[in-house]
Amino acid sequence: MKIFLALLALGGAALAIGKIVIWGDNSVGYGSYVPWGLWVAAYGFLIALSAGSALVANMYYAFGREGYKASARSALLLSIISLITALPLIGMDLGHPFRGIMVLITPDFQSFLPWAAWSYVLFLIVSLLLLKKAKSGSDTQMLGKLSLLLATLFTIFEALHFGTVIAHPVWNSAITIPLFFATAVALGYCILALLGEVKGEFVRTMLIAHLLIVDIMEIANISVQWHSSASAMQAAAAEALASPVFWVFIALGVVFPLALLSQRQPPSSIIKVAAASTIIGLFAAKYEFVTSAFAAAQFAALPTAYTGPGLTTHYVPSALEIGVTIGFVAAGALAFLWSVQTTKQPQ
Amino acid sequence: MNPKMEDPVVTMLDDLAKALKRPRSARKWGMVIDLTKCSGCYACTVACVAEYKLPPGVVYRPVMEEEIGKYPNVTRKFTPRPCMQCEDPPCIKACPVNATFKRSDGIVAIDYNKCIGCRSCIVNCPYGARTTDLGKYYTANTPELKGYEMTETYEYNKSWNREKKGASPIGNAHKCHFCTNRIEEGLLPLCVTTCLGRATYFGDLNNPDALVNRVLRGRNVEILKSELGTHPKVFYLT
Repeated sequence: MKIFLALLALGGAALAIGKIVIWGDNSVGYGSYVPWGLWVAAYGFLIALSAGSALVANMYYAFGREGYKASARSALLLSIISLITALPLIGMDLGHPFRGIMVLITPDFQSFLPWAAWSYVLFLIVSLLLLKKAKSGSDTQMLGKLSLLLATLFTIFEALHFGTVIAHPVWNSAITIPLFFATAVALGYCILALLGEVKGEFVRTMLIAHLLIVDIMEIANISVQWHSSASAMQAAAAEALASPVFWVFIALGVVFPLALLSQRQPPSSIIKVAAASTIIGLFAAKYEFVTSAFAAAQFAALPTAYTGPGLTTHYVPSALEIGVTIGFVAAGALAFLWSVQTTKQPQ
Repeated sequence: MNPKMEDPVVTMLDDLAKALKRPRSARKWGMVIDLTKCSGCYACTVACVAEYKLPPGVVYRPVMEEEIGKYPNVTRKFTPRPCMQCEDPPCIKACPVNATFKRSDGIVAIDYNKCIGCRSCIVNCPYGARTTDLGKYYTANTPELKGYEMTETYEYNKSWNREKKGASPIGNAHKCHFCTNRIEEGLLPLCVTTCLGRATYFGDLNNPDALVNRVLRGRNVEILKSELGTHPKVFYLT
């Protein structure tokens, strides 16, 4: 397993270097009318995964909930690693990847992105200190609460980065912030289920509850877009419904996990399968959230006014985008497995 | 020459010379496009692409073409779409590193050396007025990459070339800037001088006697997406 992940990570790193040194943005599927694609979606998903894992970890570290104790350390490690994985991935999306650090050095706080970036940095510092403190057996409540607060903040800033875009009514909606939160919380409970240290029935109940919340919000969002009088909203809904990725969400993020979890007292393996399925389904939902917003150009006649690479509303991620995403996620998974196995569990 | 017969370009050049005598902060550049005169010749688009050696996928002034009505009462509407140079530009608020900014004369500019290429400004522009340089060349799949695609071009009072892979302006957001280099030398934007139907007017909106203001009087004026509150400085006569 580790060798397989390492090979994928090496492949992803090679492609990433190729993108920076040789191919540049020549090798990507996004452009001017669909400026954000798979990498932005994967980044948003990993940020949500990080926030959700931080919630699970800090239910114990911040609030002392014993039920979460066994999974707390692994969840915090996952939270840190998924955030660290998200950052180079979004760096790859930049036209000038090495200038990405300037968001921290010369931030313009008119934009929500520097707010999010600084929240990531502070979260990483606090969470690493929390890990250290937990290992030494000291009181973790203060750092745990701070860690959770920062995870909440970066989720809000991330949601606002999309939610304040007046050019895209699909995002510029009151549902964006609660949807980001609901996704993060549902992912947190998926992680809790996959770590498998907590009582099955408790995890099943929490997973069903949060899955229902996020699924209903996603489906309601599509329904509202479909019935909207705004052409951009209608186009986004039509694009989503025509996309196989949306149906991956319906299949793996709604139908399959809910069917599995509706059984009475299912074995933990079934709960884990439902959680893994939900994670893939929610990734598909995040991808659709990002890309379907570009289904309609700012003016209907714009795409035909001047043609050229990137001047289309049709987006398919390139092989390089897919390869780098898989490689980076594999590197994150490898780092997680290694860190869980090499760090001692608190007594 | 009878002033009534004067070419609008000559009048606008005089207005421009007067505006340049005032400090930059006292000017507010604006554009008026008379859609009843635009014939959809694309001279403005072509001139702009040639002047700035725009690579594949980068365009500053496309002309949108729509067919309106039903046979036999059908008309074609041509809408040139430069950057709106908004008073309250959403692109500026979206830039995380202050690489895009509004100059004191109202022109929204980009510092290519600061731009990180996150495309947040492109996403936030409600007019689709920004495009990204993906590092492509028209002659990429030919035996020889032609030099004209990499020679110097002038934007924002600086010289740029596309010789070095991955270096600015490649990887950056691009947009129309009302030909800043030209107007500061007393020349009109190229889309104005090349407009065959003299449908595009340019000048200082702070000067009530400038042609760009006079043509607005008594006409139906359309502002694109005015409901968004971005306050564009490009006006359409319909």
